[in-house]
Amino acid sequence: MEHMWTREIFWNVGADKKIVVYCLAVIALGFFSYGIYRRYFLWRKVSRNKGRISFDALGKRVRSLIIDGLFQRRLLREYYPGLMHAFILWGFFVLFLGTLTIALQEDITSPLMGVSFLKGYFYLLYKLTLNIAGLLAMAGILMALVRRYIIRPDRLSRSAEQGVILIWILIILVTGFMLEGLRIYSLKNSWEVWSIGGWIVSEILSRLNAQDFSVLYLHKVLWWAHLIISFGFLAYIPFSRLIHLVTSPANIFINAPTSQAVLSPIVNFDASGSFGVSTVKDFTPRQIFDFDACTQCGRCQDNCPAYISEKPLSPKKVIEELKARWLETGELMKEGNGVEGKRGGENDGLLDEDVIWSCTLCMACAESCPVYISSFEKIMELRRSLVLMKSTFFPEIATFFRDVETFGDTFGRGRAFREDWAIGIDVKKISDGNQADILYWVGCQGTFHDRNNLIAGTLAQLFKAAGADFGILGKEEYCCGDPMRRIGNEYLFQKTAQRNIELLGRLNFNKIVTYCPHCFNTLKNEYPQFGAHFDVIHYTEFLRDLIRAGNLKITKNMEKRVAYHDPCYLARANDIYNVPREILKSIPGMRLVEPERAKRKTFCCGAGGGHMWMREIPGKKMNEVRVKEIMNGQPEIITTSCPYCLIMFEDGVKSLGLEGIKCLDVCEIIRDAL
Amino acid sequence: MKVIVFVKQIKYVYAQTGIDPKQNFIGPDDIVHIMNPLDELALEETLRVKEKHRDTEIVVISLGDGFAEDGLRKCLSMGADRAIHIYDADYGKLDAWMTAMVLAYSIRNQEFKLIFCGRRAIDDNGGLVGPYIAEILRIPHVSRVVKLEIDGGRSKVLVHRAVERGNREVMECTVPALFTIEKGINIPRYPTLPGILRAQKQVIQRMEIRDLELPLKSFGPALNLTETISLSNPKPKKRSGGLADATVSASDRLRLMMGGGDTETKGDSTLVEGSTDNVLSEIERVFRESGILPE
Ligand code: SF4
Ligand code: SF4
Repeated sequence: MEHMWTREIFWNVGADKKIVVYCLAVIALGFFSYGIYRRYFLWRKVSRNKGRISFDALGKRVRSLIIDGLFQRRLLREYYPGLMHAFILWGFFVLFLGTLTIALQEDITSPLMGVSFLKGYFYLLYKLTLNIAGLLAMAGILMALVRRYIIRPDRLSRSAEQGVILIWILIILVTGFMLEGLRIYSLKNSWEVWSIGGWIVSEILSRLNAQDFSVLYLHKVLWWAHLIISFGFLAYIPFSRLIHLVTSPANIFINAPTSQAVLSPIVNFDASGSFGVSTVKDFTPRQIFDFDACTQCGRCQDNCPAYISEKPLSPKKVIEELKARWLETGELMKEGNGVEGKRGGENDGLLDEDVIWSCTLCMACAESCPVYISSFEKIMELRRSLVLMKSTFFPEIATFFRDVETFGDTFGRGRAFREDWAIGIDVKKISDGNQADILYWVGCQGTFHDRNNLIAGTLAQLFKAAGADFGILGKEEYCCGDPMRRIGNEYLFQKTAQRNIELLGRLNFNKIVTYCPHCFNTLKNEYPQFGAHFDVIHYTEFLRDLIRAGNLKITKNMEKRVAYHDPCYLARANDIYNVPREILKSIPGMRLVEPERAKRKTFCCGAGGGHMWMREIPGKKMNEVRVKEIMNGQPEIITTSCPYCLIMFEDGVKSLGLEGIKCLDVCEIIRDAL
Repeated sequence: MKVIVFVKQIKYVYAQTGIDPKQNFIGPDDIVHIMNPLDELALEETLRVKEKHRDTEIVVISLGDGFAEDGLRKCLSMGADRAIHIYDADYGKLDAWMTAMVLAYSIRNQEFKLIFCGRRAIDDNGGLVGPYIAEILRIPHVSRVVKLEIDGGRSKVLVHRAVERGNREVMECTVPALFTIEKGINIPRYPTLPGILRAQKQVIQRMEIRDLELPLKSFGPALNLTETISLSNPKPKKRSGGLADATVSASDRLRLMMGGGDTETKGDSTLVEGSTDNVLSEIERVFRESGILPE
C-alpha cells in the first residue's frame, strides 16, 4: 500500500488548469515587484545622501539574520508576543517551503527527470509537518487577535489594516485546511490521518454526512478561492505593513554590525555644509530604510525610560512620525512636486523640541528593537541640527558649552581645582617625563562633584593599597567629550577629543582606568574613530583583577541586602555587568538583589544624554521611577559604578523620603570590606 | 548703519592659586582667557539691532596681545561683520585713559551711529574706558544700559538704565552715542557651527598703535594718568544663609538657600515654599522684577 501514500496535485481541479494558476502567479508577482520597486524609489531617492549597503562583517550579519530573524531571539524575550509572532513566522515559513517543494516536483523533477518524491513515508512526514505548521500559524493568529482586541496593550497602535491582515491570514489557513478535509473526506484513505488538520475537517464532514457531489463542488470553489486569496496576499505585501516581511530581515542584515555605543562622527566640517537633520531628505537611505522596517511592535516604547517616566517621548512614535514625514515627502516628490511635506520644511522641526530633548541616550530602544532600529540615532541627528545649525537649546546648555570651552570641565570650575580631590592622598602625576603603568582617568564628576570626588579618592586609595603603579593627569585632564557629543555639539566634542588624543599620545602609560562609564565608553569606543586606540578598562574590571590576583583582600563579612544598578554605558554599551556582580559576590554574607530591569536591560538613572545639565522635562522624575523599581527588592544599600547614577539615586532616595537607604559606589563597598 | 563694539579679552580670575597681586592672585598655569562677559552682551545687543535693521554693519574692535584674536574670532562666529585687532604687545600696562585714547582714535574718522561696550571689564572692574571714549569723541554716553530701542528715524535711542535697587531710569539720547551694557539685557547666543567655521576663515584686520595718529608725541605706559599702587584681596564677608549641605535634597537645599538658612529668615528676605516648580517660578519672578532677567 505504501506507494499509494501520495496525492494528485491538481486533484478535482484538473491539471489543465495549471496554466491559469501560473498566470495568476505571474500577476501576483507583478504586483509584488511593482510595489517593491515603488518602495525602492522612496528608500533611495528621498534622501539627498548616497546609500551603499555594506557587506563587511558578513558573518555577523548572517548570524544575526538567523538568530534574530529566523529564530526570533529578540522577539522571544517576551513570551506571549514573542511566541505569537514566532508561531506565525515559523508556520508560514514551513508552509512556504512546502509549496516550493511541490513546485520543485511538479515543474522540475517530474517533467524533466520523471521523478516524483512526494510519496511514501516522505509524503506522510511532509503532510504532518505542514499540518503542524499550519496549526501553529493558526494558534499564532488567534493569539494575535486576542492580544489586539481583548488584551489591548498600550504599545499597540490601533489601525484597521492590522485586523485585515490577521483575518486575511486566518482565511488562508482555514481554507487550506478545509480543502484538505474535503479531499480526504471524498477519497476516504485512512492513512491520511497524518494530515491532522485536514483529518479533523473530514471527520466533521462525515458527522455532517456531507453529500459527495456537493463536497466535490465545494472543493473546486474553495480551491480557486484559496488560490486567489493567497496570491492576493502576496500582491498586498508591499502595499501594507506586511512589507516588514522584506524590510525587517533586510534591516537586521544591514544594521547587525552597528554598535549602539558609538555615535557616527561628522567627517567634514565645511562652512557651507549642513549638519544633522532638519528635513527628512537629510537622513541617509539606511536611516530611511529603518522607518520602513519598523513593525510598530512598541517594544522600544515599553523599554524607554523617558516614556515610562511620562516624558513627551516615545521612540516608537519617533519612528512613526518620521516615517509619515518621509512618505509624505516621497509622494510629493513623485508627483514632481518640489514642495516638502507639511512638517518637512527646512524651518519646521520634524519633531517637537520637547521630544528631542527628552531622550537620555540610554540606548534601551535600540537594544530592545527586534529589527535593529535605533530611535535615538534619529533623535541625535535632530539634536545636531538644533545645536549646530540653529543654536536652539535651553540656555543652561549654552552655559554648559561655554564652561567646557573656557575651563575644560563640565562643572565650569577650572583646571586650578583639578587636583583638589586628591589632597592628602599623594598621587603621582603623569607628564612628559613621568610615566606609570596605569593612567587613572578621574573624569569631571570624580574631580569636581562634592560626593563623587570622595569616590575618586577612595579609588585612588584602593589602587595604592593594591600597590598599583598609577598616575593621574592632574591639571592636564580635560572633559572626555561625551556630554557634548550626546547633546549634539559634535564640533566641540571632536575638538575636545583631538586635544585629549594628542596629549594621551604623548605620554607613557600602558592602560587607562576610568572611574566614569561615560569616559570609559568614549575613550574606549569613540576615540578610535579618530585614530586613537588606547587600552581602556573600567575600574570595576581593574578592581576585579586586583582582587583575583590577591592584591586586595576582602576580609570582612557584610550581612546586607544590596541592589546593584547597571549603568547604561557599562552594561548596555559595553557588556560589563558580571564583573561588578563578581566583585560584590566575593564579599561573604552579601545578598545581591536584582532590580527587575538589569544587565543589558537596565533603566536609565535620568542623567544621560546631557540631562545632568538640563532642566527636568515635565513628567515624572526618572531617578525616582528607577529608585522605586530598585526598592521593590527591599535592599538596604543601592550600589552602582557610575557617578551620574549615584547622585541621581541619592537625590531620588532623599526626595522619596526613604529612610536608612544608603547609596554607595561599588568601590566604597569594597573599601569597607577590606 | 555702522555699529562699533569694543571688546576685551580678559584673564579670568576664577581661583586664588597664586601669590602675585599683579596677576590677580592666580597661578600662572591656571589662567584662562575669556571675552569679558559684559562685552559679549554688548555684541549680542548689536546683533539684535542688526536683526531689526538689516543694513547694519557690526565692527568689533579689541586692543590686546595675541589672545585678543580669540575673542574677535568668537565675535565673528556670533555674527559680527568685521574685526579689528589693535595690537599691543605690552598689553595690560595702559591705564583706562590711555586705553580709551587708543580705542577712540581707532574710529575717529569713521561714520558710526552707535558704539557699544560692556559696562566694565570683570578683571579690573574699572568701568571707565567706555565713558572716556565718549568724552574723547565728544559724543553722549549712557552707562549701565539694560534695554535699548532705536526709533524709526534712527536719530534717537530710548534706553533703560539700571540704577540702584533694581530701579530703572528711562532716557532718550541722540546718536551717535556710546552705551555701556549692564548684565541682564540679554542672553548671548551660542554661535552656530557654520558661524564658527566661517569665522575661522575670516581675516582680522590688524592695526598698530603707532598708526593711529594719536595727538601725543610719544606713547606708552609712561603717559598713564593713573597708576595702580597695590591690590589686595577683599576681607572675607560673613556668609549668611546658604546651607549647601549635601545631606538634604536639591529642592530642600534650594529652599534653605532662598530662605537664608534653615533656622530663620533674615529681615526683609522671603521664604519661598512649595514644590520645586513653585520655588523656581518664584525665583524667576523676583529676578524679572529686579531686572536681573529681561522681562
Ligand atoms: S535612548 Fe533611551 S531615552 Fe532615548 S528614546 Fe531610546 S530608550 Fe528612550
Ligand atoms: S522601532 Fe523597533 S522596537 Fe520600536 S516599534 Fe519599531 S520595530 Fe518595534
